[in-house]
Amino acid sequence: MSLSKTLKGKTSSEKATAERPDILQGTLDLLILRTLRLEPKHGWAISQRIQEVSDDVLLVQQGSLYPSLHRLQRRGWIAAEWGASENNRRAKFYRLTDEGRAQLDVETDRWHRLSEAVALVLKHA
Amino acid sequence: MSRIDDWTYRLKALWRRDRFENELDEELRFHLESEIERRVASGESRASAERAARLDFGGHENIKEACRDQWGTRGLEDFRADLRTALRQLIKSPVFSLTAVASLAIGLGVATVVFSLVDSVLLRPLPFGEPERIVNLNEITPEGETFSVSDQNLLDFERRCRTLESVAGVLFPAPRPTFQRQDQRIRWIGQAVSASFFEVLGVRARIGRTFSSAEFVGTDRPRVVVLTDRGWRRNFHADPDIVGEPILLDGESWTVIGVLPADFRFESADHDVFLPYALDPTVPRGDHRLTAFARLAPGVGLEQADQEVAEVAGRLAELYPDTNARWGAGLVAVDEYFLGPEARRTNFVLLGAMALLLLLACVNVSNLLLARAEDRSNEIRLRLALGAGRGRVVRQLLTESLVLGSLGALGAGLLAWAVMPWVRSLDVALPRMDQMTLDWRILGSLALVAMVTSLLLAVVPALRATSHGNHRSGLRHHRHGADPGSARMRAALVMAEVALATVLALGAGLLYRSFELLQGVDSGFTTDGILLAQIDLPSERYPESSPQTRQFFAGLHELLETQPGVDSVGGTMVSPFRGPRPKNNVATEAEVDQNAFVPIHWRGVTSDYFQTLRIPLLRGRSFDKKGKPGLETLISSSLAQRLWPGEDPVGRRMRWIRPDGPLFEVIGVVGDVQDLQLGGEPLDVVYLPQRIMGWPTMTIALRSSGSLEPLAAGVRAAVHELDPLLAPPEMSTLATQRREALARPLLSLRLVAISALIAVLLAAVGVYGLVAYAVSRRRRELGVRVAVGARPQQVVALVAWDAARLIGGGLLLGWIAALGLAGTLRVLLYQVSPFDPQVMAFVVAVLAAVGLLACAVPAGRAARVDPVTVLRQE
Repeated sequence: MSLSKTLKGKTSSEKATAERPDILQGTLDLLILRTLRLEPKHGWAISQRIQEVSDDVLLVQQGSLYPSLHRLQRRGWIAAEWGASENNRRAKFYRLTDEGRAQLDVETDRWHRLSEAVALVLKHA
Repeated sequence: MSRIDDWTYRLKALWRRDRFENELDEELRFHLESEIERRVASGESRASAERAARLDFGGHENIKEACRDQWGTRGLEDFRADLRTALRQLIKSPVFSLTAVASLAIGLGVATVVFSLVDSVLLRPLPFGEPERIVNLNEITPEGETFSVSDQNLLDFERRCRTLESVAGVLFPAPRPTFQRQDQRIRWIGQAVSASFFEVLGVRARIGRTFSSAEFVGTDRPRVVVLTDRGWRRNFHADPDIVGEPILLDGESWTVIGVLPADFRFESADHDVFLPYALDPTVPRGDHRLTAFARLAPGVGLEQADQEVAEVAGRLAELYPDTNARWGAGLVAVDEYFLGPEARRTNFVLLGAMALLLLLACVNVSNLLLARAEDRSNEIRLRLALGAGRGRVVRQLLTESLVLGSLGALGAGLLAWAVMPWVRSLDVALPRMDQMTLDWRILGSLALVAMVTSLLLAVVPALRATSHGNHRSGLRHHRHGADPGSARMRAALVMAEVALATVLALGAGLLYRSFELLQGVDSGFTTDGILLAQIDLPSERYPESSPQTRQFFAGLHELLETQPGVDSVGGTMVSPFRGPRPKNNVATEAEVDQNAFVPIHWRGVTSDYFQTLRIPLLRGRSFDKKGKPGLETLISSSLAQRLWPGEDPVGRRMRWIRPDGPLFEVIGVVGDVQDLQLGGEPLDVVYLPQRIMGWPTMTIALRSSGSLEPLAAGVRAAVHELDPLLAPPEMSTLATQRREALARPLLSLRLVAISALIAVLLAAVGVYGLVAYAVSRRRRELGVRVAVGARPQQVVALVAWDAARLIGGGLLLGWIAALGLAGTLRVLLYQVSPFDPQVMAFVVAVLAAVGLLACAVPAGRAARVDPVTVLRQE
């Protein structure tokens, strides 16, 4: 997974772009896996959930969300099923596979180590 | 995630493309609508919510494209598109496509056939267990010739040699038992083998078992036989229950104990049965009647064992000087024994011819590809100019070539499949040739070779066509200014084609000349109108030299002689060109030195044998037909010269085998014959009277000026009349057997000649293509020449001169290459020098004529160039 490649968030009408960091692709994958930890969700719900939980700081653009979902699916970390949404419409629900669950642990661990390291550098360098 | 899962997903995305697309569409639509509803719920008007959501969503198509990338199908889809384009392009230029595909199909097809031939003969392991440990064990005569082994000596080798794990003997002559079932009498071909035979060869029965050593001990031995696959299928319809059942052979009951595997072959494919033969210590030590094989002990090399065998032979010579003095022994690897050096050389020459033809086909195709790349240079430049990546265009061109290669391979497979039965049906000229098949290994190699060559051939033209120089010059460039480097390369390729065709044609010409000479060889006897019947009397009821045996043949002779249409009847121990090949040593009466004895071939014959085959009686007389037979002999003219140079041998006495051996009186001299193989030195032959020999295996020859067919029925009837228990004999004609003797050179000739013919055609196509192309490019120049007054002949000469230079260059190159290869071919040639001037002149003339003929059409077109039309086109 390339960390260097960034997926640019698109301009949003709600908050100034400058306040929102770009989400790295690997990070987005981690966020999606984490969001799906408790229950299956469809794409829109995933993006809403990330936005809510991050207090509107992280805004996931559809242009990065859906390619990510399809990539994770191809890797076998998530699986998709069609089901009924909250307002009873057909929606594609993604759920974490066993492999994906294991991957989530690996990614979470890696993220913690990385952020700690970055924090150390910011503090002492 | 495993690689396989990934590919499963990709392929699913590829095959279920529509479903993937629909789902993606629906998913994105759902997202958009959810977003609109969220906005409406938070108080926006529906119209403004829709606008904002759409804006926010961005390009629908962009997202879809990004998702599709994640499916991992892009490469595959590009390939599919390339394939479609390639097929369209190939269909658009059918002449190019057909020529290229046909070249590949023919080149690869011939290669496949020859390769499967060589594979079955040379490469496939012998159907034995660990064949590298099996050896043929020979005794070696004081003259240094390899010789068969005697029972007692073989028992001694078995006892004394530590390097040999087991030893087995095969009895000569091979038994030909008559299989009897109700009224049926079938002549079986068998082998009598000693206890360890199957152990030595490492062969197990497929049903039941092979012999056990207990079956070879004691006086009251069980009568047991092992059937070959052929014998089992032919006589028992492959019934597995035959094992354990009794069958009648030569009137005795035998029990079938096993059936051998289908691929098992020993010496030839037509054995029906293996019978037990217990090595017999009472047979005189000097009676060499076994072909012996041994299995080396584990870890022992051939040289080490060979050394020990020679040492043991030395000790036996000391112990038994009467029979073994100065005799040696040696080992030959079993594949060497079965194949022999000549068959190996034939294979290498065929492989060489195949390689040349394949190379030629490749050169032809690469030439076509170059021409095509040039034809399409405008299209390619356009695509590059429009922004196609160079890699992308190269990939497209390679795909096209891959399609050509696949079609060529398909054609080759079909061709090989069609031709294979014909090759297999030819006289078996090489061992195991009848077993050649197209199996998955060969088809797999064919596919691989086709793919690799088609890609390799396309690389250079593709890179040239898309090179930067070409690219930069953009669309200004046009047809008439085509790349001179490419033209030079094509000329060189055509020259190479002519050269390769020359080499093959020279080879074919030499083989043809050699075959013609072989066919014309005077064998020393007539081959026309001779029917041959092979009689093998069962040794139980007709022991060697017994009165029964002599009576049987005397009776048969009498019955046949009186048949209408029969001009003459004779008999010989040695079936012409089939053998066996009994040998011995003789000397003049006074000779006391064993070393002065000369090796000779000998045959037991009847008195009318010479007359029947029209072998001229040069001096003296033939054997008496009646009365008490004496120790008399007739000798061949060459032997007479050798033993009694310049003297009349009639009345002299000849010593047989060794200084204290029996004496035979020479009563006549007959003409030299070549009845074992054609094209060698005349044989030194000693003829002994069958009436003394009483050999139970005879070939009866009948000469008739009429049709031979009705005579065959007469022979069968006569045999049945004399002994109703005998199977009808195998019949043949002398002409057939003589033809069989030439099967191997004929096979080489046929395959090389076919290769040469195809090669010349391919080269002609190459010349034609190049000249036609040159003419089309020079239309303007030629038009101008005609306009300023050039006559048609001058234009033709102009075009022909270029072609002639190419052909001449190719011929010269080919000739030089052929000189280099002459040594390889020499071993297959009979009385023809590889530099035979007639053949060379003929081949050069034919190729020059074909080449010039190939450029006649385009040259004619050049002559008809209409200057007005051409110049107006500009």
